[in-house]
Amino acid sequence: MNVGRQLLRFLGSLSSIKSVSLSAYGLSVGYFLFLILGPATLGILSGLGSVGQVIGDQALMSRALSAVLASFVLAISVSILDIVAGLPLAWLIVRKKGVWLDMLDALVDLPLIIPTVTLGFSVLLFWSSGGPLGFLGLPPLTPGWGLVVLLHFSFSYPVVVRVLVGKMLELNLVYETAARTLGATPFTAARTVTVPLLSSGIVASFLLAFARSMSETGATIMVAGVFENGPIFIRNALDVGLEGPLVVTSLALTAISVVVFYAVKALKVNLQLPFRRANVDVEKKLSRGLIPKIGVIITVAVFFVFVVFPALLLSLKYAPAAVSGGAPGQILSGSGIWGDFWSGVILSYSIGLLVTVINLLFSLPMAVLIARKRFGRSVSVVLDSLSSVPIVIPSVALGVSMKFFWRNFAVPEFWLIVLSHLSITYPYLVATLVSALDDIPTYLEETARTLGADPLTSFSTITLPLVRYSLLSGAILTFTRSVDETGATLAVSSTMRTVPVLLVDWVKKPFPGSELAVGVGTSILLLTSVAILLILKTLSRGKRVA
Amino acid sequence: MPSIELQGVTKRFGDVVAIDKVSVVINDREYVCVLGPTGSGKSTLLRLIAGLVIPENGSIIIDGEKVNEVPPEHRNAALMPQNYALFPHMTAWENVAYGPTSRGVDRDETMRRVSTLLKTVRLQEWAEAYPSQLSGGMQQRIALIRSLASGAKILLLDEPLGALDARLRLDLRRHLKRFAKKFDLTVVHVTHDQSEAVSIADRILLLRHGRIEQEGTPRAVYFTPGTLFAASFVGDRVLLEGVVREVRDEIVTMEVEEGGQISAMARGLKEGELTVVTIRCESLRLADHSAEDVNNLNGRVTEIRPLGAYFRYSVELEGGKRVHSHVPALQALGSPLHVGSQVHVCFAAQDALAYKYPERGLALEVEAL
Repeated sequence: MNVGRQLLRFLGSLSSIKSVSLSAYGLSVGYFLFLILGPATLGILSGLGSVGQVIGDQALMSRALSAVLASFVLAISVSILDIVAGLPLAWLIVRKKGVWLDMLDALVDLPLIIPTVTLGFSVLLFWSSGGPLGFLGLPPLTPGWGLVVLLHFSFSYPVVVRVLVGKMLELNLVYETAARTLGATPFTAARTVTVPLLSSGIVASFLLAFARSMSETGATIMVAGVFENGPIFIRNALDVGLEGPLVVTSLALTAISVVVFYAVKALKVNLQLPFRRANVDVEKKLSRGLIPKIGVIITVAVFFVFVVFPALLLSLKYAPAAVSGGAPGQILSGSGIWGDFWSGVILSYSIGLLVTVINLLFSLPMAVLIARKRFGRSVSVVLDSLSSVPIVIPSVALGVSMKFFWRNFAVPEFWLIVLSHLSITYPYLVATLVSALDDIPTYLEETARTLGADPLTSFSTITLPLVRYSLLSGAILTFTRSVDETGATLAVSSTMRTVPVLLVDWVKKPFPGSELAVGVGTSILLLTSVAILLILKTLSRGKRVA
Repeated sequence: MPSIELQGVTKRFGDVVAIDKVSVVINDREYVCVLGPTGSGKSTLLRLIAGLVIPENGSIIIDGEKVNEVPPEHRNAALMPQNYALFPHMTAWENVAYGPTSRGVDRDETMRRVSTLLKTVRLQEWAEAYPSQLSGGMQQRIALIRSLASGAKILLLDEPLGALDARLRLDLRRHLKRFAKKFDLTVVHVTHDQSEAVSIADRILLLRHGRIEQEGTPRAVYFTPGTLFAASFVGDRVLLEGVVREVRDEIVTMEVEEGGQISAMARGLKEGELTVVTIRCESLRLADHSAEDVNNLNGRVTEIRPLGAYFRYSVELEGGKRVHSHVPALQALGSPLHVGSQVHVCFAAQDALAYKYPERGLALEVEAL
């Protein structure tokens, strides 16, 4: 204990020295440029030579193009649906009170912690069984684009609701109240005051949903059937060992993402939607009587039918088997296919842990550098926008780029997977930390300094405790995304199979009893995620912040 | 002993010069108020001394040692920002113990220091409370003893009373000063409130556009402001414009727009020059008759307002200009003047100070920027 304190004091006194803190920042910037950004963006360029394969081949070319187009249409429509359905639910959660709304709030997080591969399988079971459609007298859905849309909606919708709820909580209610006292009906007030003030949140959540939909691979493969979007096309091309389609599709997906990101951001600046005029009679009707109540019912129904039930079905069906050790007692003993499964689990969780620790270590100084403008405003702005670049690159494309970048360096497969996961999770972690640091006023740290604390002490005693929830949620996000990741992992791995990759294989190449195996396997993943989450939440429940 | 000296200190933020070649000495155990309008560079001056910003030019010397490159934690100068910056995740006790703990003071000594100080400000029962559970006044006291507990002998206060309600502000002025003297502190107290500065400081630095406009005792700054800006910023004053007709020693006689002649104190004014004369509102006497032919302006009472210790009479002079006279309450209660009364506004020549008419115009010169 005493040795630890002495070490901390020693490090603290080092942190007072300018060159020491400079090199810590320098290291984190170097890490970002050479291990995160460079490989993710430059690798793909080295594959440009193989583009000829595709351009020469008419059939391959049109397949690639339609796959990219499918990705784009899918992502855009799902994101729009998310916003339309997400705004009312977020509003309900923030503005209404009651026990059932707290439950609703908690349920929103459910699909976020379920690994997407698990979710994919669950969605498949839900819609292709007799279930709800049979109840309405409709035939069950078979794998194809319809199921893909339903799946993407179910995993991106919670993201949108979470972001919107966060932004609405920050919003001062006083504006809406002022609008009401000036004579606006609830609907008019929400439309003319709240929604415009929320526009940055709407744009942010739209883009997040868009990026997730463009990137998602593992779950999509499970429900896609013969439908091909960008990531699935890349995966199929990988199977037959063609390089050209990988490059063309990756570049096209990235280009589309970049265009959409900048177009949406520009649109937000330039386009003033006609918020000004109020159609008094219509909006009065929308605000009173049955209509708002029907709106609430529809909102909640959509949430349950399209998100909660499909996500929960799998757990209800297979979790008992997973907990009891499974029908065939071989699950736990690790015999047969289960040997592969458990080594996949170990692989996935060790990669997840490694990725989380490394990224936390390097992204924290980076976040401080950006948020506290250590090297001036313009450097911060540049680093901030650069650090979000990997978000725009669909994860399969990122994996392909990684593979090309490192192929001349004989990087072991394990580290290639780690590097891709680092690259994919880095932007989210940095963004989470930067926004958390932005909320901590600098004068707290400054005052601590004048009271005698060196930079390291003031950071670790003031800033770190105040951002610890964001730090924890960033770490959870990083870990679950890494464990979950399929697209990039498929692209860079040849012999190693992480759990999601393995499960995708099981679905794509069925064997006797494979449905049960996938069900039990995904349930185990789900239960482990929930357990980890609960443990972390308990651990983090330290002293109360007043 | 902790004296502070600034020698030709300059600090820029981009194109803006926040502090412009400031040189000043603050003595050991002196209570100095830095007074100035918003944006005059007051807070930057404080942050320069604290070591939170580094000057481009000049030297900052604390206790005889140049500290330009010394980080804040080694300057022994504790900063108390306007909102106190109490750490929200720590109790009052932990806040106060923060300084000694991060300086590596041993546990027993820290315990002793913190509980003694908590007793001094009578908050020992609130030791376990979080900042959000304390009232504004309590928070201020905790912040104050937190600075002391760190061992700092220099206290840097940024608008320390700004966040409190008016009544509490007056009480705490006295408290602050006593506190500083009791613990032998050297204090730099930044404020934009001239009455606060005048009532609390040993010495006032009047800051404007990053430069020291005037420095001196409250008495000197209040009664003999060196510039037109200083005169208009400290105290309530009437400003009249005129042309110099005669200069004799330090007394000038001028003709003002409101009709009539005025004698005032001035230096360096020449005949025929445009001038601005300032008179403190409490030096204006109102009389129903007067035979004087200088410093006697005619007007009509338009409003009478009781403002506590004095009444404020608004008088419209000939030509439409409105001036205020502050009359002690007892005297005002016995006065026959009422709204509509014709009055003579009179004052002594030594209470009127004349300055050269500012080149950029009167309004721009005295505007509080």
